[in-house]
Amino acid sequence: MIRILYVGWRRKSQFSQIMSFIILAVFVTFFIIFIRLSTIPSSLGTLNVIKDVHETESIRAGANVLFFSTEKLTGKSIMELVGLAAYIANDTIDFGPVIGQINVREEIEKRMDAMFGEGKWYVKIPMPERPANIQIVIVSDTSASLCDDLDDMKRLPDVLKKLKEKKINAETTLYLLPGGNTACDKNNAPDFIDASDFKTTSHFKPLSINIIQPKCGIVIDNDEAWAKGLQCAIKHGPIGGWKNRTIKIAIPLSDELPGGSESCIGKGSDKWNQLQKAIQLANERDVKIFSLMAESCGTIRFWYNHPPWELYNQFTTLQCNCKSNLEMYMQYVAEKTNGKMVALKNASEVTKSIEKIIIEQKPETLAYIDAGTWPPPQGKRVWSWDFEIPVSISGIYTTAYVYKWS
Amino acid sequence: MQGQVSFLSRPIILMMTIVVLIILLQTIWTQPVREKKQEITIDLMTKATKILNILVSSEDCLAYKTNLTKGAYAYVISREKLKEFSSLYKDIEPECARDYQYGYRITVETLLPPIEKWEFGANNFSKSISLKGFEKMSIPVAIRMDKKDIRIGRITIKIYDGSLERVSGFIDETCMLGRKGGVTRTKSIYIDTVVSFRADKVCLDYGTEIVCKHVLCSVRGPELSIGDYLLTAEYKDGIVSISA
Repeated sequence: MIRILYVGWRRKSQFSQIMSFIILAVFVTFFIIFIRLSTIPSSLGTLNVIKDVHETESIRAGANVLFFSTEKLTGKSIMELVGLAAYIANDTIDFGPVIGQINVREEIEKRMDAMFGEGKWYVKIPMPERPANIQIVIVSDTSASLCDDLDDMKRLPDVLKKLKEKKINAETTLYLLPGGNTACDKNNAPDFIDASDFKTTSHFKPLSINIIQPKCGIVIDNDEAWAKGLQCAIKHGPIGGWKNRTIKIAIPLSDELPGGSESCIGKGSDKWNQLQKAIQLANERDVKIFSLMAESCGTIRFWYNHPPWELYNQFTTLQCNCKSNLEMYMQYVAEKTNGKMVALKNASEVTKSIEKIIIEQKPETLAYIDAGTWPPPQGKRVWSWDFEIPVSISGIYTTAYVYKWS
Repeated sequence: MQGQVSFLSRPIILMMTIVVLIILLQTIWTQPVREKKQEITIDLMTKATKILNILVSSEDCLAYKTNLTKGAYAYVISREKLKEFSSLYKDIEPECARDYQYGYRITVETLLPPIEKWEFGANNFSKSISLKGFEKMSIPVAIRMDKKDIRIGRITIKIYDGSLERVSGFIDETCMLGRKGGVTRTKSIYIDTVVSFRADKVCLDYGTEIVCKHVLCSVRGPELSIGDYLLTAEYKDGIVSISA
């Protein structure tokens, strides 16, 4: 019995020893595997870094290649074309009848699709902030009541020069209605207002509207015929003519109805019809009219405009009585041409008001040119690269943002 | 009954334990192999990126150099140089971007019509058991046809790691160093198929076919069968002599 028990006990303990050894071996094996497995993430990590480096290199190359490649018809690089597009703020550039129009967005799409595949990239090029390029024609009443207003306008050339220094280009032509020989009072002597009273600069050209009358084919018969004057000025444009891609503005300055407030009539009259013609010509040429309504009620001092000179003080009764009609005319012509009416409280506001009109102009522009697909599909890793693009002529730069995903 | 169950369960448990141990040990043994493969992939990708960069950015390679600034544009390559390389290096890697560990072949093609294509680099590479790794990579390039015609294209590298590349790389490196002054070099290499040296080629014999790769210098040496070797290469008078 004891022998049987002893044999049984020996067999049991041998088995336990074997099991203990096996358990130990399994534990050690698991430990080794755990150590080895912990090295895998780091090598996987290295592989991902290498792939990342390659993708970054790929997009950097892609951006360079895109902007250095040339367009077939013009021979210009995409970088030059984008610079031109940024300058004119339009993604389509017209190269004339031989080459035709080139669409910069389409050129970018063609190349990026070939390099990275459709739906796997996006390019965005913000348009640079550009100051306005403005052309202005001022049509001024030259009757005695405008003596002080025109006197204030003599400051305008210097104001335009200061604006030019701030890169706001406002090329202005002042057309004085015929008359201009009104004897305004200055230092107790007659002072005849005409173009020679104003400084001529590269940005300010004063002249009598008589000079352009034969070209515009409109007969302007008095010093207050500002509606006909507007027609002629808008038709002819400033000296040198209207240009493409500028903001075009016409400014009538008067305190009376077109032709005079002696006949204070409203809609349906010949004066009103002349205004309609001016509006039509303005809209055809994309000209905005900002009307300056000089103060109609006040006392003027003027020398009667022929010898022997006599000095008069006169209240502007006629003009004052017709003020509301004048306001209607001025408001109407501005509204119909996307402009604004400015009611001057006194003569010293003339130049300041014109300056304000200029400063408020913002060129119509594209905010940006973009091509491709945005946003990318969710969960995709996106690589990006920036590329500086010089904007033609202006000397400034914009940045192209190039994105791609796999 | 209890005795019979007890009699069977011990061997079953033992068998299961042995099976688990075999699986675990198998995992341990194959782990280094997987890691090695990954290491090779990482090396190949790094080298491929580096070679592509050198080819497209270096004036000694394909980069277009402008007379205006006497500099090269990044990623703009010259068609003239592509033609030159396709002719000069039709079956060997260019010296400006030579790698002494791997072999490669380059393809450059335009992406928009008219499609043009150029190729250069090694023509033959290690196969089957001799091939340790292979990677293919590409990046965009601009190909300058003339001043007003720069087209978008793609440059692709196929890079190989194998016995043929290692042996020929060793010979080429000896040759390049030797041209600057006589040199003797040694390297430990494992040969997994028969290697022979013929004039300016190194050849691997796979039984059914022989694959040869051009080297820079003429090479002389004994036929090497499968095994580990400490190769010695001596450069003299334009010839590299190999001894094992």
